[in-house]
Amino acid sequence: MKLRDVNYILLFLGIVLVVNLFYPLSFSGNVVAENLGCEVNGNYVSDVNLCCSEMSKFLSCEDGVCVNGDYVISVEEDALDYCKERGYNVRY
Amino acid sequence: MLDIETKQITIFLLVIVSLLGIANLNKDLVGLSVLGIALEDKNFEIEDNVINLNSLTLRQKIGQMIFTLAKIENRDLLQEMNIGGIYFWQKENEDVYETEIDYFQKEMEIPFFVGIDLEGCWNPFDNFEKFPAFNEIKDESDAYTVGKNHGEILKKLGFNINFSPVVDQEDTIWGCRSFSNNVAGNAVYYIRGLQGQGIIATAKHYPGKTLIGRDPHKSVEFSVIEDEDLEPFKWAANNNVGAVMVSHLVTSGKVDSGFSPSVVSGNVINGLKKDFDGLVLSDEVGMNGLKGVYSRDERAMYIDLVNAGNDVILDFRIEPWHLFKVVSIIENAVETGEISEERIDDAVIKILKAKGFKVKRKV
Repeated sequence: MKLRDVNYILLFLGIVLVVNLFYPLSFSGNVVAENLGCEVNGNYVSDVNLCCSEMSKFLSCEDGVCVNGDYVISVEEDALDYCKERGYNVRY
Repeated sequence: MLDIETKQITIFLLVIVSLLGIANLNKDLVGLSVLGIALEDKNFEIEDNVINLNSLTLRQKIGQMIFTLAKIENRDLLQEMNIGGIYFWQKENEDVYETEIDYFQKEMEIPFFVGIDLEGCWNPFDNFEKFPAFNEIKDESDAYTVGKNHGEILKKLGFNINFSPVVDQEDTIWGCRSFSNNVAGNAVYYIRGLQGQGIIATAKHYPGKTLIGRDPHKSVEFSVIEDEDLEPFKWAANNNVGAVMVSHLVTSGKVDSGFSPSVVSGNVINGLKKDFDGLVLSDEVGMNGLKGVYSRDERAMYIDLVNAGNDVILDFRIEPWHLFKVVSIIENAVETGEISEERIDDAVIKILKAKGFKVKRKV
């Protein structure tokens, strides 16, 4: 490979890194939000982002189940993966 | 000759790509600094608790309208960007809260709002302090006591705003977030107890009906708002509640959001502001009800949130570059005329007053 070709590759990489800094690109592993949810006190909630947000509040959870007094929230692995991918600070 | 130049270009590109790689791996203040993105100096004019609004730049004013997560690693950036509020998750014990809040507030000329959800069901202090759930509250005197007790612990730890009380009439999901009876009356006494301790109360989620289970197969459902849903908010406004949080529900009936989520409906928020002159907060913008509508146009979402009349935007994305982008979106919208600077100033004046300042404008 010629040095000039290396430079073209580095230039392309540089552009991708600049764009990713401000507008993160997703290349793989996207978990789709549809059909994801959680169970809150035995009731199903279909808003997975709400589930992620609520789970993020808990200091610790076990196997996808978080308990705080009368408040019990549980999520399946798919929803947990979605939350983690989206950057929610879920503890599990 | 050409080979030497090509080699020099290669070395130059390697250095640049390495720096960009570091910035991408560590998207925080250091990362942004690597690119030489300057953050503005703070030259606030504050004397005897009177602040000159004109001493804040546009970006610093917009920063005040953002309420985000209190991630300790982001503290420097949140301070530099003059972010308005920080929200805490559950921590291990009282000392952690006190230490972290103190660390965030250190040397802040305009202090952060420091907020949490200490609510009916959710008790972030469960490790060291127990409280009854709201559905266990028997009467107004009880509600006042719970409000006062919430206020005392919040004050002690360094908080100044609580995203509570929930004043929905019905809670079919959690079963414990809202009062089981006399919602309006209990809410007022809770608010009096809480605000009596110097903590701003937040009546939520306007205009109601947010705690009812929904059909997961329907992408949009209208919630029909009735007079009884609005009553607790009117009573709370008449009793000087400091803040109201607006939901993402699409509503009809007594409050018509016009097929939009309530939080971006000028009709909804203007209707609220007829009886209420405190802070209007958006519910957290990451949730489906709003995010789903704006999935392809994040910029439009933030512009609509501001133009609809929200004074404070709750945005719990923790990446610092995201906050930088949000402020830039709103700043750009002001520069293009899509948002008036007067809208920004109105919001920031309310925010600064809620933080205890008197506000003037001096050229």
